[in-house]
Amino acid sequence: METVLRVVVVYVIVWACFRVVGKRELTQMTPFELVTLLFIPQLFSRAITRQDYSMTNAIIGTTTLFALVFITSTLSYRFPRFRAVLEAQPTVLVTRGQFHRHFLDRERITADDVFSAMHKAGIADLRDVEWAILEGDGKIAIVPRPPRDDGRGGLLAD
Amino acid sequence: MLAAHRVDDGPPEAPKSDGRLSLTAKQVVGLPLLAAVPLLALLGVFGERAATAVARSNAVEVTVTYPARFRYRQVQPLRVAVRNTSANTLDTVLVSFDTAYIARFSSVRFDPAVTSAFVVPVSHLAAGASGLVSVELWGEQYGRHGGRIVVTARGDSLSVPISTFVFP
Repeated sequence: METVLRVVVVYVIVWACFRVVGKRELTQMTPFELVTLLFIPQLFSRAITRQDYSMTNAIIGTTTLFALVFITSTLSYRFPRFRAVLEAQPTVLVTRGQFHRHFLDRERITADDVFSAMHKAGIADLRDVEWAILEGDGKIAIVPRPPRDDGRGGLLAD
Repeated sequence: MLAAHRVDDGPPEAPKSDGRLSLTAKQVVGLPLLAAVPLLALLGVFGERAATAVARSNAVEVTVTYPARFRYRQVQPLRVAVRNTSANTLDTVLVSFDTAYIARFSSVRFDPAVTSAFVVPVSHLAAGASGLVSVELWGEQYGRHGGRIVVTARGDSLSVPISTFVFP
């Protein structure tokens, strides 16, 4: 019974924190936030709890974590310089059908990765890509080239 | 900052905008509460704290150092120091712990050991000498637990009230 009550209390607190902090933390996870969420419980739980398994300690830890998430997301939103430090910036991988090899190497993105993103965007040919951008959340965004009229009633890409 | 990641003919940047903090009603209520817990914790509100109580009779001075608050399943010491303030040796001083208080904790260890239900004798206390009784308390039941420590020497009794709060 006590375990049930404890789980209910933790569940309600976590739910309330998510409701307070907002939707952004649920949908737009940057790699930094993802790594933080995945690794902290595994690696640091004992260091954080220090064998203190009290509900008080759990509530303090949870509220501290959520307060930090809210503070960093607010600072990131309010101050672009802070955002530039905290979050990854977009990187252009392809411009008008041409790979930027330097950026691919630096980000360790293969041509296969770019083509996979192209296929998901419904594009088969690299020449039909205006820009391929590695976004801050790790996803590759594909901007297709605008179709051009070849003067014969058809549409051609360069 | 962006230049290192961008090319000259890259996609247009998002327009600059002044990000202003805007809170919903839930956030106006919830965020101060959310911030209050770690702030109070930093101020030590949810931490361990020891308290000291001192009582005197004609024969002895008793100093009790006890945990005023600590957390569930943590171990804290309770110490009773008895000093003989009389001019004569005290053969036996009895230090009695409130059963109701002790029963609120688990794995309670007494040093020296108890002779009967939570009574510890301190023997042959010379004039001016001190004896120490140590107890380890393991917080098992949360909430406020009150009790008394009674020290009896030469027919005189001293009662020291103590109170411990165990956080859940």
